[in-house]
Amino acid sequence: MDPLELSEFLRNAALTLVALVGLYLAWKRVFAANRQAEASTRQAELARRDFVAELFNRAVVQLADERLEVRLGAVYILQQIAEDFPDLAGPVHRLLAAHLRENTVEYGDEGPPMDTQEIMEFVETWLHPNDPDRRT
Amino acid sequence: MAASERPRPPHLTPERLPPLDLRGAFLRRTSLSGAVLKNADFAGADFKNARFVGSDFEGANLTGTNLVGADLSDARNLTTEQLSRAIIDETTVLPNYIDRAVLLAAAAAPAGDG
Repeated sequence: MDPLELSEFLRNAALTLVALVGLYLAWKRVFAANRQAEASTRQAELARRDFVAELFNRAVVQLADERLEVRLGAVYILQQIAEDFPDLAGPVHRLLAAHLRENTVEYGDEGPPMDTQEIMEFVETWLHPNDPDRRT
Repeated sequence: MAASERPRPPHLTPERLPPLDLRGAFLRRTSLSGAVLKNADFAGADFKNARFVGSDFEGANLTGTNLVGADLSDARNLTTEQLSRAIIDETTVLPNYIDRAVLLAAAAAPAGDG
């Protein structure tokens, strides 16, 4: 190899090395940015779940409130949680059934109180066989 | 929330929810029409004048369930044995495949006679 060829080879090798280092640094930067984005998403999801857990706990207490409007609000919140969080649908379903069992109000032969009526409507809808037109 | 506002989410279906446990609940004049009530437990519940039109009762426990005046027309998978354990009278609307005479005889038979 003559000196000219050697010089060209070394120059190309140096350029390739610089390009590889550049690529590596760029990849590291993108990787770090992705990890940061994932961490932010996880953080936001955790914050959202904390908020939902708080809503859930509050609704459990409110279900036993003497005032109908408070109980009704709790029922609507639980319905929303069941719709938006698939993993909480079962617990909400069980909780509402437990409420109907444990907080039995014997209202005679009249229609049920509005909160009981709403819970039964949700349960009736949720337990209906798959029907794309069924709405909540 | 008023009905018919949003499509039902795909995870809120009978297959993905636990069996309904309403033992001892007082639920007169309510409705579970069309609902899949597989393995539901309604023992001792009061469903007087309730509506179960077209509901599926496969494996449901109706021991001591008050179904006086209840509408069970077109209900599916109900058996004479299930109904003989429930409280019914002539105002209970039964699905066509249940023979009321057979049911009353089964209900009147002492326990253990099958």
